[in-house]
Amino acid sequence: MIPFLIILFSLTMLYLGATSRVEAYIKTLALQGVILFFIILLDYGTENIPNLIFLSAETLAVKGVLIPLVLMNVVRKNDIKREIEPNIPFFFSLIITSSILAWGFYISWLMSDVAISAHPFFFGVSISTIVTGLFIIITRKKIITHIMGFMAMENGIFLLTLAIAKEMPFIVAIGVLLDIFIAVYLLGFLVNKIQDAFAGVHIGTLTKLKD
Amino acid sequence: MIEIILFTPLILAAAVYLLNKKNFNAVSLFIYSLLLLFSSVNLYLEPGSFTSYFKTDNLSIIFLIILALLFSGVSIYNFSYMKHDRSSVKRQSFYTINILLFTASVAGVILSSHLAMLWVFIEATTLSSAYLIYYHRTPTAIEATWKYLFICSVGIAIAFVGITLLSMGLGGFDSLYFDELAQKAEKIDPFWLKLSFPFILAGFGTKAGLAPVHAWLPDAHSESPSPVSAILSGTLLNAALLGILRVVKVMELAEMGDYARTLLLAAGFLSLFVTAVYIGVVKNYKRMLAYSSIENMGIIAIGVGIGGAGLFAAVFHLTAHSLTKASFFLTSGNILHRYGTAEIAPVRGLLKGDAATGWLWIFTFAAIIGLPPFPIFISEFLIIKAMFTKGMYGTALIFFILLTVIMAGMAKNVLRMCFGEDSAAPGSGKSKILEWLPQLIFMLLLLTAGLCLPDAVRAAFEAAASVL
Amino acid sequence: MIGTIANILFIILFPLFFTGCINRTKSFWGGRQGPSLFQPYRDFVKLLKKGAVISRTTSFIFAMAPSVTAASVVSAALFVPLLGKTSFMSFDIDFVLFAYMLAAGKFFTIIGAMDTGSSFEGMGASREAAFSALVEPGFFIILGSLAFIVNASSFSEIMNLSSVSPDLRIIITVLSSIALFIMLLAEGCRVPVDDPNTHLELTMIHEVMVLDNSGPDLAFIMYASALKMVLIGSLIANIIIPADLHPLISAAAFISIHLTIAALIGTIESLLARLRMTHIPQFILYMNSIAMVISAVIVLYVSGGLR
Repeated sequence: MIPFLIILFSLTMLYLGATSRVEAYIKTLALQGVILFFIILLDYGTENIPNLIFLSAETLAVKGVLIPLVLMNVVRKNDIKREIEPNIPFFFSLIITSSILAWGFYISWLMSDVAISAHPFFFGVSISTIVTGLFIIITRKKIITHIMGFMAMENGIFLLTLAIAKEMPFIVAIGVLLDIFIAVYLLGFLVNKIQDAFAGVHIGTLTKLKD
Repeated sequence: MIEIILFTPLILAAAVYLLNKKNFNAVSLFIYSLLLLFSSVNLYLEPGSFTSYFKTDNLSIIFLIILALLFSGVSIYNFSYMKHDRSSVKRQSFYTINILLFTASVAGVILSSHLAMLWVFIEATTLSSAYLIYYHRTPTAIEATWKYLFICSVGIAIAFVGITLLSMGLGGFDSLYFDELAQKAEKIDPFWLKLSFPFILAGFGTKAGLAPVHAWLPDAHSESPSPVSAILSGTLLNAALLGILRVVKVMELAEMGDYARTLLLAAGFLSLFVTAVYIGVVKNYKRMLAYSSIENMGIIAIGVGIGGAGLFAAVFHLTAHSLTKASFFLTSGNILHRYGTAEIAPVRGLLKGDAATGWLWIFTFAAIIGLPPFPIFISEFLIIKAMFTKGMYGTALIFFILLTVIMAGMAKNVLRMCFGEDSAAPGSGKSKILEWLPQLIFMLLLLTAGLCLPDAVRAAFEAAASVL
Repeated sequence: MIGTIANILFIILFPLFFTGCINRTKSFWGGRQGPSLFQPYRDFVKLLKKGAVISRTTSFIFAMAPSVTAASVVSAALFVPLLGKTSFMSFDIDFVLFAYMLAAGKFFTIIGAMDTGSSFEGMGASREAAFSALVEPGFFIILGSLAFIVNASSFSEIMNLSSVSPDLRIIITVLSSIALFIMLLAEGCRVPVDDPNTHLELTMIHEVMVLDNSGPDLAFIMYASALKMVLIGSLIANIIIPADLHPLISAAAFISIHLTIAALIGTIESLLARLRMTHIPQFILYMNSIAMVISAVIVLYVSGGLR
């Protein structure tokens, strides 16, 4: 069941790589949060129940509900509908995302003889998600999609920490800390300051500082 | 001792918040700087530790002393800077609180003995410095803060990936304390170690200002107030570099030193190249200084990458650069107040207009590009000598050429600003004593270090280099 | 014997019923009563009774294209496992013949459309050709991966996934169904690839190619496109249904999956809009990406020895 969920997670990244509707990004991020929640529930085992409850509740609450809600608020308040055609057309964006996913599976294959206690899929899919998140940040123009690419990268990092959750549970807790920090600070700053200064949250307007 | 360093800022910050008085703000920074100086000297004389997460060793004590010295100078300068500042008392209090928390976070990075704790404190530095960059609230400041926050957050996340990959390779033991990592370095699975190093280099390198992830540096350091730029350039870059150095040490012990050093050399030369390209064409003198920071971080990375004698040079360069750059940024604050603009073109005749600032500007410039008798000359010379002993003649040649191009770019701008007729509005005041005294003290320290390094100091640097 | 007769009846009778279900679902979403489920049969008979109008500017190709299309689709139906997982014929690597039979039919539709000399039909023909070309690699990757993992290469054996571990089976079933469903939407010219009800020639893809056909020709074309949809639906159904069920139960499951697919197509047509023409290749590319994921997963399992 867990490999299935991981594959589903990777399919959401495919969708992220190709869509241009900003609300679709947000819903996909929420879906990723829900998938991660199920992965935690199924994978954790029964040793440390309070930790499990905390982790799964945090994942569902922050990744699945809170961050999408705040993002949706920002998007609705500013009437941001679509991502304009980025530097790379969406068609090629999808091809590149698929190749990143393929490369991630190749890494999984390399992993299969290295001894870790987690399913090798964890590693390959999470690395490809992180790289795809970076790719989305690099090729998109709006600030809001930059943030969503970053959130996708976060979800990938979280998936990676789940792979070693059995040996070092505190790494997952630190990953949660990263998440909350990003949510509070980045989004807080975005919602308050950038909105007032830049009505269009278009990265094209952030070009005053250059040489 | 360590408790003093870490907890007093919290108390002082609470006091600043509650009292909300203009004068107390600057005084609180000065109090903390004294405490920091006192504790760091104490820790130098007898190393200490606090819980298992913080302790000092020969390398981090150097960083700590640099932090203490720098912060003292900046807090003295801050007195007059705050007098010029027109913002409300509440914002000034916020400014002070953030500086206190930021310095505490940097101290936390320096003192931490656990990799994850170091990472947490670097995150804390990003958090606390964001407001400082944003202080003047112009649109360009917002843009700079956004870039800073975002790029550093991505960098931190990538560093976290690196740490996770490293912990995947740990196998049996599961602690990330530096001394344990050093002891059991051979037992770490080499595949994971090799995979994690680029991520950690890229992640912490983002905060340290190594190319190619340096994009936030020119904007952030130029938009923030001068004392803040001084602290950022002088301490934050060092602290992030410390994170990289600790992991390089582990790589070294695990027989992968060559791989780590090659990557460091690549990052170092790329930083030099980027600086060489941009430094001649910047229109803003604070951006020029920021690019110079990138260059110096690159030189330190090259020093570590060469290894051997280069390590001593790197530590020496680190110290010299922090003091020089801080003095440079503080002086630029004077220029900004006098001429009202941060652009190079309108500023002329600094020597005629404000002699103290003008001469400081020239001498700091001489220090930063490596003219003798200043210590940066010594460290660059040692690096080139190390390159020659290792037979890396081509690398040394490229190093020479890039440094010369950078020097030419900076010289063009600095000298143009100093000579000629004074172009400030008539009636602009000269700088007060508190605005050039810290820089002068730094310069004298640097001169002493360059001319005749006391043996105790040299021994301290060598001990630090041997830790690596 | 009974299986063969059931299959023949299925091929002849079911496709038009399938179309009827789709239309009925669309009417349901539109809040209407809608035409009867057997209305397509009546349309078919009506068209057969009429005479065909053939333009003087066309050659013999235009006259024979509809028949060739229908014949090719029916021949392609010979290889697909239908009711009870039995097919008329099966030999090694017959899925390639299946794909190219369909392609041959499509080729004749295209040249028949271009034969009329009308620019609208040529436009539709070029679009249709482009989108089918994009679908093909995905289809072959999916079937190739399935053949790889079951170590067999004919349709009936490929669809028998019982030798695969359950973990993998869920992944393959779900992903292949999604990918083949996208292929169905593309080949059957349904929303979001093409709206069969549009009357604006600039937005037509498939409809515009058959704009000039009438009478029995049109009847055969209707039947052929419905049968194509049913065939791809059969592929989906066969992947989903496990192999070791009693024939009657598997036949009943087969028909119900088809009805579900029809309802799903009708729902998608009612709820979604057709994609902008430039976004359609992207949509079809999703199918190829999913196919690639399937093949990557399978290759990993087989060669990496993953758990």
